[in-house]
Amino acid sequence: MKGLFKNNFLAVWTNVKFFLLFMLAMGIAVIIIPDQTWQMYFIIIGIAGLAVNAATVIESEFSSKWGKYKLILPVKRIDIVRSLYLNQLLWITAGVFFVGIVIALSCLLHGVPFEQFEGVSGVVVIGISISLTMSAIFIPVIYLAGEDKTIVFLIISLLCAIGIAAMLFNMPSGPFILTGCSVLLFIASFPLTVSIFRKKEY
Amino acid sequence: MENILELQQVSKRFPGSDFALENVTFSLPYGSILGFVGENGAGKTTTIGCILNTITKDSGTVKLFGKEMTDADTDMREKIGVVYDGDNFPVYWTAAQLAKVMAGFYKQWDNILFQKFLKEYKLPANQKIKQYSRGMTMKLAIAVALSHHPQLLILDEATGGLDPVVRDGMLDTFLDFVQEEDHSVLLSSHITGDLEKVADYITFIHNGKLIMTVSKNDLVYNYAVMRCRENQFPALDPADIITYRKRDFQIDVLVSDYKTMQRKYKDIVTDRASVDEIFLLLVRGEHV
Repeated sequence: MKGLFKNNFLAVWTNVKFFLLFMLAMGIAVIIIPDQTWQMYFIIIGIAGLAVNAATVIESEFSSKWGKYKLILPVKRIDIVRSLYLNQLLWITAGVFFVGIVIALSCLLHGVPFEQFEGVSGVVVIGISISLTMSAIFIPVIYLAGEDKTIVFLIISLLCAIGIAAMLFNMPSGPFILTGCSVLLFIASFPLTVSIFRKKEY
Repeated sequence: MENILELQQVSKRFPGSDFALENVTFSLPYGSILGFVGENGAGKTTTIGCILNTITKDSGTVKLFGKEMTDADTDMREKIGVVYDGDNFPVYWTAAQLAKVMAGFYKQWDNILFQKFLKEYKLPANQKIKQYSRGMTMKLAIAVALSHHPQLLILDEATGGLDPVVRDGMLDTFLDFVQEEDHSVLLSSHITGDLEKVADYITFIHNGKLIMTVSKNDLVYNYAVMRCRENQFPALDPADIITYRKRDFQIDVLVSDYKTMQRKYKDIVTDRASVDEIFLLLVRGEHV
């Protein structure tokens, strides 16, 4: 698993550097200017953006024979899939920490711009749920439909995740339902991907 | 002699494709190099996929180190080094980053040996792989495949598209590798000249079917091509003919016993044949 984590981290790091620079600039703006709308977008983009970057690991593997090569390394197929899901969780957590620090700094300087604390946590829930749902859809679909369509499926998965979040969030107890659904989807997606990947031939 | 690799009646069909691998059977003894020859699309990569479990075979058995390898046999994969044709690794990595990743996969990863290979092959450790030439990427793949001390090296068209100097260096590396008696190499290639230099055995495959497996010495010393005129051909004993091919006013006949044929057919010119010529006659020749 150590090799898989190193591999995933290197693959994500190649893409994420530019995104982090952008988020850093956006973060500075959010700290300086206390604006609720800016903060909302910053939270959602920060968390979901890192999850999207993490998901591109799969694409980068199939631009060379590395995806096939990994199968002859001393790792099980289930561990390859597990490492992808853990990689998603890792970067979503990193996103939550990153936006958390920026929002905390902004609140320290200017106070809480949201009308109530639930406002901030609600936006964080949306960011996490979009990320989990997007990952839950994208990973099995990409193994099922082919790695050459990564970008298309990434966009479709992200749009589906945003749609699901928008539908569920405004229901009574929406944040709880949304969180529950996205977590369940993410968990259910793992064995599905494993079963798809076990039959995959390269 | 014990075998490091054994294939018995391995078959594989692909839905929606006419191609099928049919009952492929061969073995690779310890301490030897087996050349796996076939034209593009003959089934070499499919066979290697079945050996390495990247493709699920429909039937037959593949034994590595005496047992069938499953997905759970990670220890067995520690003992196998593989080189595919083309980009084996993400091109945005450097060799130094690749070494760190590989150290996380292989218990026996030998970074000192890897650095030695980088130096020997003149591969810059901190240059991105995408800036390497094709020869350099293949050398890197071989360095990686050898740096975890494998016993079995599997090379799928690893020497294709390389210039003769680089190819020659690689072949020397394979010969060094099999100096250890528990080491073996499966070298898939359509460059038969390479195999003539290093292989102990040669297996010919065509259209998914195995034509034959034969020792290189047998090919070099016993196989021959008789250059018959059209009027001489009917007089040949059909039992002597493996395949034949008409060429203008001459018929080339592949035979497997050079000395006997020379004695038996004194008025027919009989030449020793190259692996290339034997392969062409096997694939494109007709049977009696």
